[in-house]
Amino acid sequence: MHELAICRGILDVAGAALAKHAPGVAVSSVAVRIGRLTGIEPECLRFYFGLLIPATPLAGAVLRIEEVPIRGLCRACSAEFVIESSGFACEACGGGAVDLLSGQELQVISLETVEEVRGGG
Amino acid sequence: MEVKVLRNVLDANDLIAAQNRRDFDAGGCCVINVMSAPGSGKTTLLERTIAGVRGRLRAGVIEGDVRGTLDADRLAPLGVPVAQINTDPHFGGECHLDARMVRSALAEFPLDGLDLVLIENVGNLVCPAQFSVGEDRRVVVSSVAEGDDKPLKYPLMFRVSDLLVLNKIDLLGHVDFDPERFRANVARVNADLPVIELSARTGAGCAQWIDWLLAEVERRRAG
Repeated sequence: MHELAICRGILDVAGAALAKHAPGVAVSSVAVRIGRLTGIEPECLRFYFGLLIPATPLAGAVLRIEEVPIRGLCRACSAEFVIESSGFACEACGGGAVDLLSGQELQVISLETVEEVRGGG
Repeated sequence: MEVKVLRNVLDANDLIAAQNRRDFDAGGCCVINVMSAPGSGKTTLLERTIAGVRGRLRAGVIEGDVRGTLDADRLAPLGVPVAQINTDPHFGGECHLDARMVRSALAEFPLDGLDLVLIENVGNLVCPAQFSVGEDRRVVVSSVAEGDDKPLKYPLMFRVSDLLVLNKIDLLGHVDFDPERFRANVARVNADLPVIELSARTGAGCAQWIDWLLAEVERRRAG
């Protein structure tokens, strides 16, 4: 998977949100949600994030990744189950008509900005 | 302080895909995104397709490759509009087409005069599945020469596709490929995915593919 292009996308979305809601404020972390079906490798994403972030208004932020499992819903027996192997067949009845409840997410969830520390004490 | 964002990373791509969709709709075009591993026979299938719809549909092709115009050059003599997108050097050498790249080809492409636009994506079973370009349907082309286990190894591609074309059936018996095991593997990943078996080289089974395209164009026309 081309984690570099995805990373650029994350920085674009996060940068736009920062500019809109907290321009000029330092960011401590960017939280993303990545579904397993996307095939995006978290460590690879972290690597590119580290390379690209210093040159952006988000410099200094770390990447927090929430990985989402592939969850299926069987249309035949309504069972819900996690898909980990290469097959998507229903665990309960073996049926092949399975809708996906999760696993394709590729989202920026939130930013955490750095609070100003007031001096004194 | 937490700033909620809740936006898809590929929002920017999807916005452009929607713009492409509006342009395709204005031109009355049915758009098919054809994806596969390199060497599955996409271009040969397009040659067969252009011949097969001649007189029935006005077709055009948008070609995606990392470099070169080999595929566009093959299709040019067939008398249909062909646009070539090279991801290298214009788009960072990307391994897939995205909405922005397809949009770049639309300015000079005669959408108004076309019923069917075939987008031949970059040969890659992984990344093209991730990027909408504004298409109506996604077709994945597998070939007998690639082995019968590919649906299990590339689940996203086989989940997002609307049709699977199994090409090179003329090689059955010459390579280790079990059609029954292949169909079972397809069903394990996506039981809703219909399969058409054909040989773009010999023409066997291609009528069914042409019929599918005609039906899709008709479906789009009917709205």
